Amino acid sequence: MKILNVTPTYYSINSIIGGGEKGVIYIAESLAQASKSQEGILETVDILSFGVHSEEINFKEISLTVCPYQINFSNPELYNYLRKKFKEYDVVIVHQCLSPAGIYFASIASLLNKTTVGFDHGGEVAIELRSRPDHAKVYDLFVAQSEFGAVSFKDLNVEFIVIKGPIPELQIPMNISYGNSKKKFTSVGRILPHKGFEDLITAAPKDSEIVIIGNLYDIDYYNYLQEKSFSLGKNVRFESSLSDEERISEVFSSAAYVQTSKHIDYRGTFHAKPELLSLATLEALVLGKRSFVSKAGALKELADVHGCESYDTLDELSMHLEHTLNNRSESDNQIKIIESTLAIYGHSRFGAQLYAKILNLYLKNLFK
Amino acid sequence: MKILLVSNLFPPGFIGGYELAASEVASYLSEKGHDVNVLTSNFFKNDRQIQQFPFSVERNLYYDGSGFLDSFTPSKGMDTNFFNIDQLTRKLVDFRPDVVFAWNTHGIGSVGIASILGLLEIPTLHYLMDNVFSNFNPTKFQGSILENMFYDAIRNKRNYKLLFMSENLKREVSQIISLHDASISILPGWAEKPSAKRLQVENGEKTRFVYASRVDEHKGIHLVVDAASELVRQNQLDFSIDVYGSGNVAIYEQIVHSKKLDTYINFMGSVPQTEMRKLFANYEALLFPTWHREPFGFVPIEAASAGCVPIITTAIGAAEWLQDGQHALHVKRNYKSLASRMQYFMTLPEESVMKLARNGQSLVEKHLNKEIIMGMIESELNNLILNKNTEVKKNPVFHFLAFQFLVSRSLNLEKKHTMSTGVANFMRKIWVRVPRKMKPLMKKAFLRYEPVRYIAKE
Repeated sequence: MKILNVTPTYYSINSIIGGGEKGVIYIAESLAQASKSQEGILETVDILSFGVHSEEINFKEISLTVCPYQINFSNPELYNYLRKKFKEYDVVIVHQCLSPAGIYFASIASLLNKTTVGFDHGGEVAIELRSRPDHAKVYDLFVAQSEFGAVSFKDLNVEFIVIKGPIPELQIPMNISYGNSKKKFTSVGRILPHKGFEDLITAAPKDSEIVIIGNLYDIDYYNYLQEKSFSLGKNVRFESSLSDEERISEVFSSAAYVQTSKHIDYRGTFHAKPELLSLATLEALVLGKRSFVSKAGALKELADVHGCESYDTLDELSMHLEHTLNNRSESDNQIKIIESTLAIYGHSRFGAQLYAKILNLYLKNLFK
Repeated sequence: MKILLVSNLFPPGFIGGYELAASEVASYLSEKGHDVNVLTSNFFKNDRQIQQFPFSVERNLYYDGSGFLDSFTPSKGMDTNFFNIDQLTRKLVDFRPDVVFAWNTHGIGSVGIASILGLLEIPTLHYLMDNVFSNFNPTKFQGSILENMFYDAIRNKRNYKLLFMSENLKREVSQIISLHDASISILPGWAEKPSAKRLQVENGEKTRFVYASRVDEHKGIHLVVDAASELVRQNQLDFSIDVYGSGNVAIYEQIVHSKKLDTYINFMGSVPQTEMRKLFANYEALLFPTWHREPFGFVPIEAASAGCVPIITTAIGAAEWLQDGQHALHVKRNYKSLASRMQYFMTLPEESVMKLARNGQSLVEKHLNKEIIMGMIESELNNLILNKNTEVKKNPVFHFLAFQFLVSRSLNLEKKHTMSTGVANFMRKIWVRVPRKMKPLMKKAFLRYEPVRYIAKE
């Protein structure tokens, strides 16, 4: 079975550096890893995305092709290109599947009688689905990354499943000293108001170090965070250009990971879908880090995971963080044992193998 | 074999020969044991109550009769009707035909129907007895995704075949759509096999002409009247013309009366096709000065079959078979030419008239008789099934949804149903201030717009 992942945006500085885009890579990598280790019918897993220039980006197991087309629905060249491309595959996995671009890809795949699976409903929902939800039937199956994300699929009369993850095998850097990082809290996400980083800055103990890792997407919000950290006298470091390995090192070497996303941002603007899963939190859990998450979007669903706790109020978060610092008197070895146990548990819940196994099972059925 | 016949009209109500031919073929195929289902429009409202066929006829399509397109059409000039494609795909799910037999798709969205059938890879035989693609604008169509879908469909030789009634029609259609690489055949019209050879012509005082078509200018009734007037002016009085058919009869009766031609031209009303075929034997010649773009013309063939010599416009579809001076007489499309040919015919010796009549009868018997043409249609349908490309895996209704999305998005149609954000926000603001009594009126006026629907729900 040849699988093509199609995504309107991809994980690159030339497109968007976000969890949704990273998720595409993780899903494709997990499937590719599974194709080697599991008995299945998977043969090839590729990713197709769109940009200004033609590009081929290689990841560990897979490669991402960027075709030089803007997504313009009136462009017959794009239509012909996609038809030709889709014909080479058996299954087309569409990411940001309910967005206009997603429905566009799925429509073409569906007309070619390809098994079409929709992942991650995306931000903007195509207007056609509002007046005629039947349009979603161009998909054979939807895969939601959380119960919260699955809500969008519930009225569409198409089968859907929820699989959280996946996080493929992460390259954990060697020689990381625990001693320097016992007071460090990390948080990952694009610098956007709904990420709620100001809550972490407010709640973190004064003697702790806060590392916020993410690309700068909103300069006003960044300035607001800077002012906040100065006024409260907190030690905040912003990291906007870290590689994947460096990001993993930062999270791995911290005392705990915090995800503070919120529905109502610092300006009072409401965000309906602040987090559909939070891949960064899952990464932290798979690395064995204790994690504290708000209850916005899908985050509250992570609270049942061993090592992850959710909070309602800033006081509660503050208490969690202080408690973490106070309890960090264990030796490096003890920390290693605790975190390894958490990591094993994290892997068993969100690892590539389980994810691919479940997905493979569903795809096999569809493929019949 | 399971055959789904698609046509904009299907008797009992009819406008011309196209739908009559469709019903004749459907009845023939049904008699041959094929499972025939017809999908047509409800244009003639009373037809729904009349069940005169031994096969199922569903009248669910939308056809406005004028050939112009309705509000479901994505854009004038693209000739696609989403409502009809929706109905068609539903029918495909219910009936699961082996082959679709498309007839007159004019005004029900020819391009859209061809495209969706192509996308579904359902074997389709499209019998063109008229230019069913005249509704769309090639300039607008060029470079669109719909163009790709359409040409993919008609160039898939294994699944889509175009049958043209004449070279004349093929020429006209090829000026609008490119027929390059399409699978094409020419299959003419037909008539019943001559029941008996004409032995002699009535040797009465007058030459009896007949006009049997729609009483309308495009069929040339005005030329017939003017030609009769010209003959009278030239003191050629030994003729009569019986006019059969409906249309603008009252107007032409008045014209005939005003020109004092009542003794020469008689309006006989409209008679059923079967009866008309018998009546042709009572006349010596048929007057058929129809427009040049006549794709074929069943009437001259039926007349020829009965031994009635057709006098027809040169270069129409039927003229490709009925040769001038051999089976028929050809005229230029003006009253002087018609009058001179009528005069020529009136002065022909009996043997020459008999020769023309018998030649016409033997042409129909050998090449254009119903049994032969129907057999050819049946074998064309069979060939398509034998060449069938692939099985349809997915539900055609889902294909329609995909098609609708792609076509409407490629034409930016979704914008038509939505307000701009500014207007929508303004509406939201004033909605709370609208007096309660006014709200239903507001809803009625604006409910078709998506944002207002949401406001109304709130």
